[in-house]
Amino acid sequence: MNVRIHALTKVIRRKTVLDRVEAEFEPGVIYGVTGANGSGKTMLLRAICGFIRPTSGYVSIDDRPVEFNRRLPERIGIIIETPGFANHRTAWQNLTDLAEINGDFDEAETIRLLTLFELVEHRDDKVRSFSMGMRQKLAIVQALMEHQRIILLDEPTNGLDRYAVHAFMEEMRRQREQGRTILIASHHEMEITEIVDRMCVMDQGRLTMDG
Amino acid sequence: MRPSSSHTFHALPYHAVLLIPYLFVLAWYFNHEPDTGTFLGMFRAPRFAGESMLADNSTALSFMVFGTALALERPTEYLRRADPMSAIRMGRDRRRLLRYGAIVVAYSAAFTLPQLAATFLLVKVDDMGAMLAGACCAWWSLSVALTVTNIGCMAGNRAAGYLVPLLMAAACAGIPGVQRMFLGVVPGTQVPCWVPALALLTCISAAINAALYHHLDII
Repeated sequence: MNVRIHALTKVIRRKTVLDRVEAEFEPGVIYGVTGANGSGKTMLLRAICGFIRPTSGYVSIDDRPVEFNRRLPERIGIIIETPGFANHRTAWQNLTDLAEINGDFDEAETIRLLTLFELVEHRDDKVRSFSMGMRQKLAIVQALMEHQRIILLDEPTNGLDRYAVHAFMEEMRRQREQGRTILIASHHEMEITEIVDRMCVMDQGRLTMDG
Repeated sequence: MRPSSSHTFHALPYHAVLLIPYLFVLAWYFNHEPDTGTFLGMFRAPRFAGESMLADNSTALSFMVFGTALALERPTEYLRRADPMSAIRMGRDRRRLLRYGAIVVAYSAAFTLPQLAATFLLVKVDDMGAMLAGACCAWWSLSVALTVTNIGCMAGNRAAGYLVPLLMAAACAGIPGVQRMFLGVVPGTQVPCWVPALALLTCISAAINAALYHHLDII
């Protein structure tokens, strides 16, 4: 799916957090979005999801404008900041709860992802017993388990060990081959350079794209 | 979408501490000639000549103040909370808004009912109908007050959100003209004036809450 950002500006309390951002993200490509903390990376991902009302400009997915705060017809897999799991429920219950919203639960795919991220043995453990890294892995699984067409990941490698980072990279390559549109935001440019095809840099709300 | 149980349980001891001063207010009330015809959270005209209206309505004001404070903005928190993982799947749907309304109503009932039960246990009630109507009015007023504070929180002016219901309660408690209007009956009917007044306030508050809810960024 093609994601386009059209002269998007967002001002919050007189601070311009997104400044006339123009960009196009195509399927089958992994885009990296880097920049310092507060540069607007997360806000850009939120804008794509329709979580914020743009001050001006808009986002479109396959030429259809994204409506503010509305359920998107397209499937977007997302991690933004701290994943909000229900601590008193098991990992598996959390995933099925989320999958039930779209009514499309692919058990085999979910188990494959849990196995990849070494969570399959912990699937019946309550999330309250999970470490930060395990929660992050679970967040990645929920972002990918429904074969989403657009994948937006904000700091996805936070708290992951080396094996998990490697597994994540491999999975991103796999997702790219399946024609997903992938955006990975991270302030650790070096960490994502290995897998991204194109790098975008956010600086004080402005976006520049390499290449 | 899902309740944050650990959050709720963490808050319980603080709730208990906040409740203590209100329990003192209630203990004082039940030990000093409690009103046998009007619910303690309901506004009333002075029972004794020369008595200050505000003083005689101190329990009604305490009911509103503590009722609002003890909610600890939990309903607001629920309404504003937007976990991106579920938000992306559900959008900002009306169900959450309706559940918020139900939480406010349920909380207000949970605050009012034990006090009504205590009144029935500890006071020889003269007029059962008036007592129940008063409890109903207090419960409804508290629900409206909570939704008004929510407007302030969502609009970014928390102080105004608390000030407006407080001023409204103070007006009903301390201004004779406002109180007469509030406690009177609709001409030609037996319906107390507070019913249409609170119905109107509920509609206005609900409309503003809904508008803010649908326009608020998920940040």
